Amino acid sequence: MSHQVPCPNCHSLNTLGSKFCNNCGQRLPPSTKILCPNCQTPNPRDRFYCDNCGKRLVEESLPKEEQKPEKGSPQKFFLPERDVQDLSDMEPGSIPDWMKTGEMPLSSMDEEEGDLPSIEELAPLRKTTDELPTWLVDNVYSSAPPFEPPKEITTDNFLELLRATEDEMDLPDEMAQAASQAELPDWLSDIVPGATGKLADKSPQPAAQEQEEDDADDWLTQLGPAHTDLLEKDAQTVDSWEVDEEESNWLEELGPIQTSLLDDDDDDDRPVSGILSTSEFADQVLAGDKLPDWLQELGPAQTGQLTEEKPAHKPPAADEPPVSGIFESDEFAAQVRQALGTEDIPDWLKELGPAQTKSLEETADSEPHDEIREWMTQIGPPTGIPSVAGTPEFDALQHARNAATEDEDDDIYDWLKEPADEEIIDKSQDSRVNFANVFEEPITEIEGGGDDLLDWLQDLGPTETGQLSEDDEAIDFDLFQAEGPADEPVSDVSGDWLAELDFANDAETDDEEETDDDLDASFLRAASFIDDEPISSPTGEWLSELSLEPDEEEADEQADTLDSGFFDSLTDEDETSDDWLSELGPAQTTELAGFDTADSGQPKQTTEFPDWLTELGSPQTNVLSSSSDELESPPLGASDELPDLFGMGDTGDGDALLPDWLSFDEEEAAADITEDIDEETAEPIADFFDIPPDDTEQVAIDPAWLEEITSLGEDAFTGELDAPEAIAALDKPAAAQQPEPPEPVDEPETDTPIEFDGFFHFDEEEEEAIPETPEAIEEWITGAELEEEVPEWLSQLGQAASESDADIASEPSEKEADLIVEELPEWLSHMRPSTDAHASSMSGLSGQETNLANAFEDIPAELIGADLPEWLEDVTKASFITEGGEAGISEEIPDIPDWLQAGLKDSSDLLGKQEPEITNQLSALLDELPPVRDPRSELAKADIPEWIQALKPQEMKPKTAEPERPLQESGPLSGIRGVVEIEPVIATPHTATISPTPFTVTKEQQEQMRLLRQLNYDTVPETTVAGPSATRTSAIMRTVLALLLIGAILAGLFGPNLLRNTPAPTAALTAVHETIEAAAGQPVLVAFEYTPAMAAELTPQAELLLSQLAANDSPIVLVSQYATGIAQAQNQEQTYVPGTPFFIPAEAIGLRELATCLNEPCTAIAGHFLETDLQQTFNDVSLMIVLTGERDSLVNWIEQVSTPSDLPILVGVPQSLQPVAAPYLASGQIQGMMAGLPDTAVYAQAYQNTTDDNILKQLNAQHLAQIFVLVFLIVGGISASFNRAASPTKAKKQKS
Amino acid sequence: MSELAGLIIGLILTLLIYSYIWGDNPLYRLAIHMLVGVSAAYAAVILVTQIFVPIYRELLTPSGSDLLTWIIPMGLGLLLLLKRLPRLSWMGRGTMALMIGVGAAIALLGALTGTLWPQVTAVNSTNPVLNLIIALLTIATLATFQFTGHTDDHDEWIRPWWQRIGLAQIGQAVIMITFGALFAAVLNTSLILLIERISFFLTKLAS
Repeated sequence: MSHQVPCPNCHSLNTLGSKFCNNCGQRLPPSTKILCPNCQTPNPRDRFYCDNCGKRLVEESLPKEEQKPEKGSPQKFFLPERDVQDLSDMEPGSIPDWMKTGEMPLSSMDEEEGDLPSIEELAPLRKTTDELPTWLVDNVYSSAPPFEPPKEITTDNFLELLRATEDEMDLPDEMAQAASQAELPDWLSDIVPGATGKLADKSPQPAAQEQEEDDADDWLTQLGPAHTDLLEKDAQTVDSWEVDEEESNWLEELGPIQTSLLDDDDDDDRPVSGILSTSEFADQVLAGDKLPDWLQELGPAQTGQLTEEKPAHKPPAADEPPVSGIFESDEFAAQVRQALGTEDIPDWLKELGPAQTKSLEETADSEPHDEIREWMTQIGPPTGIPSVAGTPEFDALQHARNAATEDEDDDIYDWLKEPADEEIIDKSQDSRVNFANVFEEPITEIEGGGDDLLDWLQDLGPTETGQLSEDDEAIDFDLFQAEGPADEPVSDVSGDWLAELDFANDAETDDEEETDDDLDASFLRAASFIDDEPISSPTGEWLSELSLEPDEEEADEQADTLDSGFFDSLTDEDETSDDWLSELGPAQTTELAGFDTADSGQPKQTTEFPDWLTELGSPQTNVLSSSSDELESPPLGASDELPDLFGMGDTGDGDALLPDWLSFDEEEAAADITEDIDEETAEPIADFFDIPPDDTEQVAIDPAWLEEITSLGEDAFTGELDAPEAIAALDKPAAAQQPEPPEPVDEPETDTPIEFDGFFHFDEEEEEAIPETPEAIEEWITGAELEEEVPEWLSQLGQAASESDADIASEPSEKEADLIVEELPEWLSHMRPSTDAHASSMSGLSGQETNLANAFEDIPAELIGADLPEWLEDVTKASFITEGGEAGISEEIPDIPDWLQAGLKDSSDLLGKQEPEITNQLSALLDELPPVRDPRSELAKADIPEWIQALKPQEMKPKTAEPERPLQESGPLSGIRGVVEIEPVIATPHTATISPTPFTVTKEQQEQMRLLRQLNYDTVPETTVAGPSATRTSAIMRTVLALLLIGAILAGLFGPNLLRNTPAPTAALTAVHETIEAAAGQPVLVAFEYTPAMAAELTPQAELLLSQLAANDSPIVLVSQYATGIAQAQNQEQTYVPGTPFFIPAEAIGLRELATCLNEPCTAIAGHFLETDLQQTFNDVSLMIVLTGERDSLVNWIEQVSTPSDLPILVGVPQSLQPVAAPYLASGQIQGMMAGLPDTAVYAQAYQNTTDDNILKQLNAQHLAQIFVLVFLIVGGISASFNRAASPTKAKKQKS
Repeated sequence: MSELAGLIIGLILTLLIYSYIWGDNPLYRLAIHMLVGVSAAYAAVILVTQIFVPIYRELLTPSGSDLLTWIIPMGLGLLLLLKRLPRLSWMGRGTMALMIGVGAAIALLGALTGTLWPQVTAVNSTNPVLNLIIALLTIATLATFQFTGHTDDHDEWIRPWWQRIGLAQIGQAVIMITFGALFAAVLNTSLILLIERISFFLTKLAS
């Protein structure tokens, strides 16, 4: 009862600890006690141990009161504690505040108290992220990006980034592939080796090219300075330029065409031709690794020339396509720098123009001309091209060339002489250097036929490109042959260099199976001016003739500005490889003319060169120099006026190997030479044409043609390469198809305007008499047709970003498109980027405001600006050249990577110093170039893989405005943003609410609960749910029945005796009588083993038996195991048995002890010490009479006493116990049995001769009662059956 | 008078008991409680007078047993009393164990020697058919209380064979008959008790 709790609603008892009533479901008040888990004892709640068994009641030791934080003290972070058994709701006071509100004082996060470690402590875990690149590691505390994005995308920045991430992250190949596989503009793709361009497959075999490096002439190297030592400084930096060819191809292609490089107003020390002059790029490019195809094809691989003194640069791999010679020869690069002035002349121009005609001469003699690049062959007209002799351009070049021949060295303008005169002109001659042969094969390989040349090369070469492809004739280098003295204006020899280029006639005609490398090599060799060996071929002489005689200082300065790496990368270590530029430059036109292929090994002489070639003159043109006046007049007479395209300055040797048009103002170049030039190694180039051909160290600087270009000013490089008139004139397949001429360039006083018109123009109709005098050449170059004769490639170079007008882009684009499609060789057309193309890939270059950042949005930062060659940098800068001729490069050039801006700056610096007229000329040339097409309109954006985009640093990703998450101020997560707020369900304590609807219990539920209670509890519930009628009916029935029964009894007692005769005694009764009679005079043990309940039947039996025993004088020993039996015994004792009955406890054990005493004399029985008499009496007991009303007692006496003692036993049992005693009677264990009142009556009547009327009356009443009961049972059964049959119907009705 | 008072009280108590026919009522509960109480009290008195007093007297008698003889039984008895204390109940476990062990042994011995064996050997060989029937009925009765079975492959419980052949059902019938006979006997006894009481009261009151 104490472990139950009454329900306040229904007052039903529930187990202690219950929360809800099992009857009605009412919520019970919290129990005030705790049940012990061991002994289930209820204990007060303030107990820790059970009061009963001592078991621990509460596991936790801290009471609830102790968990409350003290006021004033910093609240600690704690969790509410409660007893394990406590399943009730938490007290609101025990719930900490932070759980309620989610806030917690910061002081609660005291580390000293062993709270959760702070995030700073977890910082060491970040060490595990060391393997990850910095930009992938999320720095929680630093909002700064893992790496600071470069403000300016420059090559140096890119290199630094590469170095920084070199160890951390290796660009997966996929990125490289992705970058390489990015869809590039056509003009880029064609150029980029390995890209999907047209010329991608045209790159010469790397293995073969490597083998032919010794023999291949890099036209660019020939154009470049003769002193490769100029490139030593930047050799290392160049070596570090590890740019995949594929990645840089698209950038490389941009380089040489961006004439905007020439416009330089910035004071940036970087050379104008930033892209080309970048040491790193140059080195790689020159090393032959990264040269784009267009450059490879353009010039022979004069790697040997430049790499001789630059062992630091990396030779190209065997499988890598070699770059053109200019990039393969460190020597050439150095020479170019020195000769042309590195700062003033963009690299691309440096590449174009020979720096040392001397080297051209030198190389032409010793080396075969098989190094002629494909591009040179492509540039040159095929065999059969009608000679351009007689054309004004050629004549001018011829004149210049001739003039160059008058020099002492007689090698300046060689490149304009013999080859053009003697051999090139004769188309059918196989011995002469077939300029076209140089390009023969490449031309055929060009997609779309070998009919089209690149625009810029077309400008350089014969304008009748169709002749180049169709006729397949050698270029009549007579056009290029300059007859003037070496010091004549460049215009005289403007065509000579090309004539010298036609060294392929010597060998190409004989062996058309030569590879493009051979052709290029031979061509470049002819034009090389940096080779040590003199260029014997007249094809190389013209370039040398074109070259100025730069001062040594200027040459040194300019050479220093040139990134040595630009030329260091040239891996052609063959010293004998001819620099095509050198061949072009110096007056060793014989080299050009006789520039042989690799097989022949002997350059052939070209006698005649177009005027435009002569006008081109020395590559040592101070194009980007500040003042063309500083340029010394090359033998061709145009060196002073030619812009120093290559910025090579004065090599110091004084041998002008480059044509005038390639020559530059030495003074200006020297002024622009940066400090990078190693004056110890860099030898100033006094005069381009004065440099002996075999003097590879001398770099002819100040080519007149370059100077002229330089003097063009900004306009010259406003997006289109403003090629000299000679070149521009040549780029006229038809007059109508030529692009619009650029703006007229103010002719410098002393500079010889460069006329590129007719450079490759073989239109006989338009042939002009080659001026013989420098002045004539000058005029010829700076003629009215300059504008329209400006080669496209030059015009494109000058087309800068400042030229944002769409007209220029649109108009030339159409023309250019036409040119590209119809006239120019495809390889040239592809090589020449349009302004749009430039504008698209290089924002700002075309004057369009494009967001470079967006362009490179999807490209990882590491790849942005990757492999950007120096010349691209120049191009980038050049794009901002304004039309005014001033470099418009500003620091605020938007969206241009730093690596490009650096180049732009260089170019702008260089261009800023050029002569206005040159600038104008260049601009005019550039105007003619087809507009730059925006490849973005044509190309689909590169599909950057998602995984690359995912790797994009956060800084590069567009910042999306995200709502700032609130800062967690309290709690264990304080200081963290973005914490999910605690749900109010958890924070706020649950408050019990009273249900609005009261709990109701239906009658059926009550009935069910009553039945359940009856099943669970022993006690009948006091209150019953059952109806009163049913209960009253049952009570009445029972009362009636009882009264009837009593009536029957009374009737039997007072009625007549139904038993007329007493039945005869049974055998059992007889045995009783006989047993008692047999034990007469012997002690008899009589056991009163019954209670007063059985006294009605057993007491009469006891009286009969005791009376009989008394009559027999048998001592009677009364025993009992019941306390009430003792009382019964005492009632009989007084009458029949003297003595005190014994009480025998422990039931079976006591009886067993009694049995022992019956067999053996014992002094005590169950603690009763027996007297001596009793001891004897017990030992003499001969009969046991057991009067019991219980079965167990009967069985115990039989089993424990009768059987061990083997004494006869008589039992007196009620009538109900008769079936239990009958087996024992049958087995003989009991000798006699008197069962119930009938046997007593019979026994009394039979053996006592007494008739107790009372017993008879009771027996009569018993009979009547039994009859009544029988009848009642029958009637009741019948009625119950009828009721049961009727109740299923009712139940079904109720269920339905 | 005393007899009359006793008679009247007896009569009243008897009527109180017979009031249960109408249902459970407090009078009936009163009579029941009085009966239980008086019985318990009388038993206690007998225990004291029949057990403790003689022992006490024996110990006091010089010629009686020595105290040392009674130390062990008295100690065991006292330990048995400690069963009422939760913390010390464990001390009475020995006494309880002794008593239960001895009693179980005696009971088992008596059952075997006093009931089982004699009953088995007392089978009447003169009427073998009857003996056989008795044996079978006995086995059937015992089989009724055996539920040992097994499960087949389909996880279905299969009854033992004696249940499947009806032996258990025969035993159930035997049990039903036996319980019926016992109930009849109890009913007769109850009638006798009722008759005796009524006669007593009538006789005493009449006298």
